[in-house]
Amino acid sequence: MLSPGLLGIISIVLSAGVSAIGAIFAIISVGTAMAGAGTERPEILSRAMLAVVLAEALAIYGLLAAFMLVGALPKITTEESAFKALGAGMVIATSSLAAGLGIAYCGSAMTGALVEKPETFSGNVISVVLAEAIGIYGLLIAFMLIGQI
Amino acid sequence: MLRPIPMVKIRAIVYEDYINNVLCELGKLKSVHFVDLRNKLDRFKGYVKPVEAGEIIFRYSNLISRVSKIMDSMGISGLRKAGERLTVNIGRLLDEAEKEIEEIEKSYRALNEEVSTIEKTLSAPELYEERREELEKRLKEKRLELEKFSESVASRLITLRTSLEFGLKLENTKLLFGRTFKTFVFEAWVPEDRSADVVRVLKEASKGLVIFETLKAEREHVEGHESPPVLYRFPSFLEPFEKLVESFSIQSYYEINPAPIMAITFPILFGVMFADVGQAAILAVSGLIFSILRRRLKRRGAEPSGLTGMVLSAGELLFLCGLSGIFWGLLFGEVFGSHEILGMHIHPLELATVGKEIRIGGFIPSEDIIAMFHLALFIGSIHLMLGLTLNLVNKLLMKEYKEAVSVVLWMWFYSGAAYAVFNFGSHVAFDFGFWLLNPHLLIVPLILMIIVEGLLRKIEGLSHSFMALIESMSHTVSYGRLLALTLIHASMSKMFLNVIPGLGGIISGTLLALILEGIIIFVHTLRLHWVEWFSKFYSGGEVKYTPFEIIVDVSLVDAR
Repeated sequence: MLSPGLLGIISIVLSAGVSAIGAIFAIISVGTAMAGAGTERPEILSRAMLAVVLAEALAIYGLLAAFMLVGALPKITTEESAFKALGAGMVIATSSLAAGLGIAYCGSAMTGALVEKPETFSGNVISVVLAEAIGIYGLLIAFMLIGQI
Repeated sequence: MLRPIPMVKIRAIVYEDYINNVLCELGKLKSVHFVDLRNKLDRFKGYVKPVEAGEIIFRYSNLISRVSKIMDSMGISGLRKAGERLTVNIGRLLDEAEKEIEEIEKSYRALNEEVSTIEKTLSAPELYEERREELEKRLKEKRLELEKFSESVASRLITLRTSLEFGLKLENTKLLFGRTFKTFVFEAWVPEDRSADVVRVLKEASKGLVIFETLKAEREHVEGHESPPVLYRFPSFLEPFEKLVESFSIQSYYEINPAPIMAITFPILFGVMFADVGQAAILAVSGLIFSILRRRLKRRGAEPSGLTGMVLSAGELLFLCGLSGIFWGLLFGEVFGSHEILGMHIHPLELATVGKEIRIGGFIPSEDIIAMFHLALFIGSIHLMLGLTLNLVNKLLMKEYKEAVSVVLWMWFYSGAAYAVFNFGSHVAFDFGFWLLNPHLLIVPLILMIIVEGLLRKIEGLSHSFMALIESMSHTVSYGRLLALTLIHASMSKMFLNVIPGLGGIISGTLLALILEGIIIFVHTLRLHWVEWFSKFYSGGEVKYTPFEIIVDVSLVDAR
């Protein structure tokens, strides 16, 4: 059995690190799509920016969970509290990664579609924000777990 | 404000000799929105043919590109400005312009060739000093001559280009019309209060050789045709909100425009997430400065475009958001990321307590996460109820009473469930005994909704009511982001204060909050409106009113 303190550290690394991976995956994909789309039709960029900012928020969710875990670190002494911390770290990590994947695909496709038909935005943005909502669901569960430590 | 300006449709048949004059006068009136008749000619039962793009359009574009080429190489730019007078003989414009442009091109080319010949000779290395001096003198003279020539034709070129573009605009607009042997047929949407003017201009400009009818935009009437374009007249502080609605989708003529309501809800949601008296005050002040700056620039006629323009035009929005941030900052007792300022402890103010668990203010979100979660969902459910109410109003306005019944049932079901959870505590949510004992809150409206939807729309209706159930839940939970972003905002500022105590921490935390957090919170507020809120009532997808405009004061010679 690993020591509770070490499990706490691992959960912090998971939540800040893995959600950053999810965020950057989405930013890389949507950002490059935006760079291409902007050469053809610069006026759509302000709308396509929505996907990038939502992706960036994923990293901040991870950072917030990590920040709260750091605050709770002195309290992580028992096995039970250590597993709660680990669970919180893992749930925010995996849900941010999943949300990032979703934004990466839907966001870049949406940006491409905007160039040809800007009026498709209202339909396509739904998939981007639904993907992003997954990150929020994970964050809410992480809050509840951290609150119980 | 909530409804668009009423529109009427004018359908006119104009004798072909007067069509240019009619278009010119209507263009100066700036209040007709032409309908593209090309795919709609079947409504005239085959009597009307489309206007074909003839050689004339190619001649216009060719001449325009030639004029702009000369103007570019002379370093002249621009067109005649709004209000300037211009006389055009549209019948002979093309031939005369062609001749004139050819002449200018010829003289300009000749002068240029002379200059370049002298330059070439000068660049040769074996030249006597005297000859070089003489050549340089001649070069100077020729260059001066070239400059004078450019100056002398500049005004004429600008006039030519303006008249040619005016001619091209007329021809391009005619492509939207229908054609019979001797007449042009067009349809146009006109704001109701301008229709008398338009009719008067139509009669005058065509010397009476016109037949027209005025049609009212009624829903039954335009079914299967097209809905009217939408136009709103707003006080200027609503403009940023209108832009946000429009960039989602252009409003529909028959629905309520959410922009004025958004001017209230948007700042409220933004303020919850940006709850900090100090930082929000900076936001409000900068918003005020932006909006004053924009008004000044607008008065001078120099409105900036691009990113600067975007930021400046959001001035009023930032101001309202900042005010709301100050309000919520007081409720959460937060100033510059801490709960103390100048040694004074700030107590969160409690505004009200709703039901059993909902406290509006009176707690510190980062210390009482559950209370903040309840508040976030409470705000969310009110926002969603507002959306459903707007949906009901829309359905009633459109006289779709069957649809309205299912909306009422959805509202009953949603408000019942929300009332129970907020009034009796969140533990009842999964307590089936409670729902069975109080069937009027959830079970009765749900069953009614399934029955009514099933009767009205069969299987599709059943899946629709199932969707309503899922959507009510997932969209409410989505307002949990109010909690997440409030905490992020608070802890970011706090983190900087922990690392750099004192003023340095406050400044760096505030900078980060205003720039990065501001953008993220803005996008999240926008997304809550666009997706969770708009999906309850907004359909959009219509056309914006874009009047046919001629800004230069053109008068046609020989206006036959």
